[in-house]
Amino acid sequence: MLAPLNNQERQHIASLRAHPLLANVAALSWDELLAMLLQRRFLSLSIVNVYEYVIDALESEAIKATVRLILHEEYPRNTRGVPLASHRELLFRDLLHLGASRESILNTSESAETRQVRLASLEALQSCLSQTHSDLALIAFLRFWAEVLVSVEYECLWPRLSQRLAHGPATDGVRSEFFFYHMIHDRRQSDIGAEQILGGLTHSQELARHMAELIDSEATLQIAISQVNRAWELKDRFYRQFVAMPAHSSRPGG
Amino acid sequence: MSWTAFLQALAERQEHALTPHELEVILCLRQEPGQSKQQLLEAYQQRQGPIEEEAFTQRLRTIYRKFNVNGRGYKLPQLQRFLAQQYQQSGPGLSRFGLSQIHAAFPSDTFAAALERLIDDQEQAQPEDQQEVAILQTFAPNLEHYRAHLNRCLEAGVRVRILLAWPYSLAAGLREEVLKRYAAEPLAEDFAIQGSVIANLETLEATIRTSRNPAKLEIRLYDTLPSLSLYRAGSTLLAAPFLHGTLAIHTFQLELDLRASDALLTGTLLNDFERMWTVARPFLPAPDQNWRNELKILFTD
Repeated sequence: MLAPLNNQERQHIASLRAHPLLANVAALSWDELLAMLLQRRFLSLSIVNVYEYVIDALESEAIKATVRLILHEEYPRNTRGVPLASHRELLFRDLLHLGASRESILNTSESAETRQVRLASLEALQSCLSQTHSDLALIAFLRFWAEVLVSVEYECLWPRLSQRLAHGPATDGVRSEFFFYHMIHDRRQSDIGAEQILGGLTHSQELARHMAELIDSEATLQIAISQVNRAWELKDRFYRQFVAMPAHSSRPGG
Repeated sequence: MSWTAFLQALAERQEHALTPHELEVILCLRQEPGQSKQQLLEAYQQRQGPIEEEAFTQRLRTIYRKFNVNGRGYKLPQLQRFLAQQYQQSGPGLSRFGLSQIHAAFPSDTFAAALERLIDDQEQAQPEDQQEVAILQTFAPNLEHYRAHLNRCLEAGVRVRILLAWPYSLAAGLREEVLKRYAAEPLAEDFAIQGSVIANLETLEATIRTSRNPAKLEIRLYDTLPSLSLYRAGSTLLAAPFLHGTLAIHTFQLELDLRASDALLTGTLLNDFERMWTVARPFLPAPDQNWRNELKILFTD
């Protein structure tokens, strides 16, 4: 039942990896790379709104609880309730360590294309509400847009980012506190419906378990596939602004 | 047979030919190892009244001779080991497996005393063969209680191993659901294994921050089902099952002596600890670092 959806996801992931920008990050100057990351930051900032919208829109309390847990990881506290640095703060630190100045991060304006992608992403969520199975549509879009593809994006960028950021013990250099961890804990890790009991779940897998429960017919399968397509189109569109390339006339595999 | 009754019976056996004064000294020996000569003297004085130290030492020397304690090094630990071994072998059955006692719940004082003995032995350069502290739990609700002890163990050079559940594992989530559903006594409204393990890691982070010898502290997390809760200090081991209705520390505890002549119980438990230690993954809650990010991805290959 889930095979067509899993196939479609794999094709979109391969397509994003082959994107003219993400496949050629080695050719970007640091100025070009940082300019792109500063625009990418606006999508990261919008994730909280996206998650909050989905929580409000979901009907299932169980799925809502999962989404809420993931959102709250963005704002960690210690067990005495003291707030720790948010993931947005960690992104800011990573950008500084990559070479962006404080001024450039704070003064860079959102490009028209980034803004359109960001707003279109929220509109995509709104359109989920008119679907027969809105909970499925919401988490299918959320998972692919905010988790699976995010991990793929950072995976493509990591060879460049790791020239200035390390992971592991601090003695190895300045640690990445944002990009590296999101690359790992957001990633797809397994096909939908093939999550393992041991080893824990990434954010993508936590949402995938709910999707697997909701997809029980050809109609629900198609709803999930259409949301995955939509999420991929938006990410593809975001990165197109950095390369001189025409808009895609067709989606891969669909 | 109680320890005191055993000592009384042993000392009265004709082949040892102990005098009543020597018997008085023997009866002041503790079952647990690590009692120093000074502590023995104090116990004697408390029980029998004042005695000159020289006279007391003379009595001890005679006792060593009568029990054929003639190995190299300190004689008192040798005598204690000999008597403990005799006691285990004298039992009707279970003592040879090292079963010293069964407690209704986690005996905080017993574990604290075992830690103290371990620290004393280490500081007096009389380490036992098994000089380590090891804890296996999903999370240890009493870890903060033993923080000072753990710090002193580290400072004394004792190896400390802590093995906890990886808080994001499905197994940890399952244990939490079981407790919430079946606990005989209601758990705190905000009870969550995830937060409880992280609280333990925060305690260990604070220990690392203040310890002068943090390298002796090893922490690992497992993503499998836990078997038993184990608390080990030197040759003392406390073991309890993970029942559906209650936390392990509120369950009956088997107090075991790891020097048991039959290792059926103790060996099995220690082997299981080692097996879990092997499959678990090292984790360091490094002070002032965002270790929560690393924690989240510890088992994401």
